[in-house]
Amino acid sequence: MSAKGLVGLVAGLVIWAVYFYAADMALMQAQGLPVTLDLMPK
Amino acid sequence: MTVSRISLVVAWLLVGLIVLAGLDPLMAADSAAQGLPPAPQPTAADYPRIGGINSRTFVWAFAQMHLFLAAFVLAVPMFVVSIEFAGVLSGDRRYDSMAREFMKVSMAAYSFTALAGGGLVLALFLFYPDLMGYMVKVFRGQTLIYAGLFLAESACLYVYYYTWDAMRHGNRKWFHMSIGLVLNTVGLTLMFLANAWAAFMMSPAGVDPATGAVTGSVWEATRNPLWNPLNLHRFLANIAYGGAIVGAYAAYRFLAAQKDSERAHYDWMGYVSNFIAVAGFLPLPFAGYWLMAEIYAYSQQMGITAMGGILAWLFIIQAVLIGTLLLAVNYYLWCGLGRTDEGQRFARWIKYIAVVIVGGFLVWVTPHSLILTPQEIQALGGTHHKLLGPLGIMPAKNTAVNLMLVFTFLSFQLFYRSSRKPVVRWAPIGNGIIVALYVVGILNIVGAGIYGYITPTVYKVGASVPQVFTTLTIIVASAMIDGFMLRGAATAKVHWGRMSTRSQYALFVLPVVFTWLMALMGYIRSSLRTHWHVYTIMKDKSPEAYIPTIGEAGNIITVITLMFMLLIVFIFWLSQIGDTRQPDPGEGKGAGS
Repeated sequence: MSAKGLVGLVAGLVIWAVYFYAADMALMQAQGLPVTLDLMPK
Repeated sequence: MTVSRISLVVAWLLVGLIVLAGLDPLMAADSAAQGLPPAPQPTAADYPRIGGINSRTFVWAFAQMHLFLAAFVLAVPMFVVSIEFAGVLSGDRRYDSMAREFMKVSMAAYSFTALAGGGLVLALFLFYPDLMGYMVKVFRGQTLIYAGLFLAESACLYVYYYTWDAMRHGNRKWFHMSIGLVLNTVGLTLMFLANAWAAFMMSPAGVDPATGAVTGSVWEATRNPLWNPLNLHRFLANIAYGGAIVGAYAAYRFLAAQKDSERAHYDWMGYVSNFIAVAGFLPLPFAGYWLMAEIYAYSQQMGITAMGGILAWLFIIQAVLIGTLLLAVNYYLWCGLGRTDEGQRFARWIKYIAVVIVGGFLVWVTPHSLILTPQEIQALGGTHHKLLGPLGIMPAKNTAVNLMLVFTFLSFQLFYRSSRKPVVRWAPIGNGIIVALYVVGILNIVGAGIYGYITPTVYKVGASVPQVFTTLTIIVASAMIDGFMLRGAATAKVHWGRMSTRSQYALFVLPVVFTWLMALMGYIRSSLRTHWHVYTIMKDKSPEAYIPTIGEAGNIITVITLMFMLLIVFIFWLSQIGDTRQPDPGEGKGAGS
């Protein structure tokens, strides 16, 4: 993998991890299921 | 463009007129509805018997045949208009000829749809007069609107098909597409109305819950709790089904082709059909999930009957069928890598995708409760297997299904990439972001599955929503990034027609499995009413008011599927023979002299 590809991979991993974490939390809360920061039931 | 815009306005005006014409009698009927008697409660003697005919099986067969055909003829114009539009945008005449050929196949099926529908109505009024009398009282003028829309559908369909060559270019083409748009609007409205009646029988609204007396408007009865979930589910399923059937037609013509050019054309047609079937199918499990969630929300008892009671084993059969379907779709896509010289570069990934698809299939078909002898229970130490038992519950199955869908999309993406090489400078970064999306997305899906095992039930169910969202994000986001990244891409030659014969049989698997699956799931949906015609309102007292055994239901479903398949082969043959021209008697001699 090229250096550019590696940069993209690392940046992508971080971006998507944050994105999915935020989405998971929002979707659980939206269903009336409160969760703590580690996404476990409140 | 001015004329095309005017034609579009005219098209929508027509739709508006149809809707307004429909609303008027609906409103008028509302005031007359008050004071209607309660729902009839027929006894066994009130069901006419004709010879030794089993009323339920007779109606079942007609209803299912009508639904198969209607799903097909309603779906085809939906993607035909889209393909026609793609042809206008791209300027590629192949799209236009393919769209017309799709319509030709559906035209041959249209009269059979009407015949099956007519047969169904007659059979219903003949064998279930009290039920039909009640349904007509509930839906009143809407039944006439349905009949009117059916006429409008026929008119639009014939005009759309027969004006194809007369409106091929310029503004006329836009007008032609507008007719297609009206055709689809009418067709969808027809389906939504029929769905309202089926959904009303499961979750009645607009009637008195104690007596069944009609207390609300037609709109209230129409907008019952299960109407929209059923609408969405059938809408998507129809597209997948229509795509699968025309895919089989393309395979049929591919196998029968004598020339390379014909083989190339039908290979391309099969590829597009498969794409349509997959595009309709990928979101389908989520629509099914919504429908099932709404069934549970409406009546927990009904939900448990479906997934935890007598019908639960049928969902295992459903898993086998969908697993087979996904295997066939993936196999076809993998074979497609051979169409390009570059495809071999991606072939090494197939084995990993196959492991996930087969693994997911096995998890999905693992039952939670096993049918065991006392000795087997003793040997197992309980009714659940220690290792396999946990795979029988929903978190494992949701994870398996989502991963199977993600990897099916990956197969498609690999095929798409096999003929395109990005030339944009940021392509390595884009590829890195797509790989990261798959990696994090898959981890999130698996994580949400594990989460379901360590949290209370309500959170377990809730975690399926992030799983679905993740799958859709992977599909939509990677398709969008690919779209930008492959702009102006260097394209490799696609050798259409360079496909093995056995790959075409995968295209035959699709409609057979879809048909069997629709019959099976339709049986489940209808059986959820148990001994009720209209759930909790009107009891079924006919001699056939029982849930058949799985074996009996399976036999009936199989026979209906076989009948439909025979009909489809006949329709394919009709479409093919329509292209055949017998040479004039002197043609051969003239050439030789």
